Amino acid sequence: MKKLWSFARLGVIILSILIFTPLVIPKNEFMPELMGMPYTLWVGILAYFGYVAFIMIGIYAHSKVKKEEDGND
Amino acid sequence: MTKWFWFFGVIFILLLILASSRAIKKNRSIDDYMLAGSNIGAILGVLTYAAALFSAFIFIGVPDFFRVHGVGAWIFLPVSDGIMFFMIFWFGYNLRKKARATGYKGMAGMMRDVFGNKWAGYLVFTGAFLFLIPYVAIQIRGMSMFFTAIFPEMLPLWSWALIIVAIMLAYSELGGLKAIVFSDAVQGVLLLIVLSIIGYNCVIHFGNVKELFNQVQQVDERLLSTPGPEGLFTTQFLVASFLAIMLLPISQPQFSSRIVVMKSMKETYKMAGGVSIVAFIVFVATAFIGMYGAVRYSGSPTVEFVQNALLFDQPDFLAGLAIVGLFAAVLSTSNAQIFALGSEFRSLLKGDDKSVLIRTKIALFIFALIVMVFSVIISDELVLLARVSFTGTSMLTPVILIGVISKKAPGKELLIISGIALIVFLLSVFQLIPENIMGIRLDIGLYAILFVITILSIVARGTLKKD
Repeated sequence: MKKLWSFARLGVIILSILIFTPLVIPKNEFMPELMGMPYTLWVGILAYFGYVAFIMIGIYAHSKVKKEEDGND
Repeated sequence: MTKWFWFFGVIFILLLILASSRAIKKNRSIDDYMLAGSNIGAILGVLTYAAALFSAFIFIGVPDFFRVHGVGAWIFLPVSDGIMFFMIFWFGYNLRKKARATGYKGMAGMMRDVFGNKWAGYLVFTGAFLFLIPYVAIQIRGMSMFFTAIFPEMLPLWSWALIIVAIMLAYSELGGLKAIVFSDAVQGVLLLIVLSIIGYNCVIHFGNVKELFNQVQQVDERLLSTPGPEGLFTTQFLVASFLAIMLLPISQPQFSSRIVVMKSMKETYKMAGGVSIVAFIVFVATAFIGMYGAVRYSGSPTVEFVQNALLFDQPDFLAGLAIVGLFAAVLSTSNAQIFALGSEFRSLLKGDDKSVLIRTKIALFIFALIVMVFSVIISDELVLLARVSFTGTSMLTPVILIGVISKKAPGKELLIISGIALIVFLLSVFQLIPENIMGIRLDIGLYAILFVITILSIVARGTLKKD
């Protein structure tokens, strides 16, 4: 479970770095579109989903890890 | 529209009275009053956190930001909020643990105790005071301007500000945090319903999402990418905003106190997950409202765009509900911040419960008065002033974060560097020193310096290791 918690933290860090690269915010570029949305918007929405996924994984793993460490809150 | 406004407005005020009276019955001690008995469940937690976060800023500021600066606003706010929601449970776990160990009354008092230094408490309180007051004031001003615009004959701007402050004071002084949490729940639900429907209507106006963005492209192609038409969303601006927003649960007391008052860690986890989903719906709606505005109200002043997009272009009942929703949003966020300042003040006081409570209530009254005066004289840059507030308080992160996760008293150097960073940032806000130095934004430079000195401090002192 500790590995899963580390995975969630690492995932959040990597995602947070990628967001500020041209992969997500290419200058003055709005193609390719997805469902009519410009590139930065739909990739930004995917990035948000990425955070939500890491939040859910993180909550699951963190709660188990901390339960093992110090019992119930 | 006016009929519906009064209809929903009366219902809202009745709900506020109900919430206050329920809360008064439950307030048996000063901790019940200030910390809602630390017994908030997940659903109330999601709604109160969302309400504290989503204010006039989300109703007016964010759609306007999308309209003027384009889709880069999605990176500026929703993406930054994404990591902030992660921080809720990671930092929340540590904060709750420390709060249990120290007998939490407020962050300022906790830092004074953890550092063993009264200046730690004063610093945290001063930072919160300096940057929350203008933020609350700008929201009340935004709301008052909005009311003045839609009811031009009724009351002057300052009267609307007075009404908002008076209602806010009345129910928070009577019902305490519990009343605020209940009113937040009402506001959170209203916000979700109103923005979702308006966002949907804005897309439907053009037929579908694709057509909406086609129209935006014809107005100004630069709205579809970064840095946007005015070049605001540079990488440095986005990184600095990201850091400031990510640190909100640490740096702003209205958020940290909401984490502490949750019933259990299990409920805190649910709150973090829930608020990330609620926020997504709200952000998508604000993006569509902003893009709608970019096509239909390009170049118009903010007030004209907001009153048309949120009110006059909507069905009457929805417009009425939107005004009440906006009013509720301002009320609950302002209340959350003023009350958080009251909690910080209270945590620094000594004496018996009764005298502390009386002094805290007097302080709340004085804070509200200061906000009222500021709201009449402050400028209209809603989003950018909010961002200044986020950045200003984030300069206290080394003190609060290390104070919370430390195993022994942290070094005084953290107080000194955070204090200096706060002063330097304040000087840049007043344009006494430049915002950019050698091509680097001052806030990013300050974050980097704070980060390095904080790491050096905890390594040299072994602050995170047990004795």
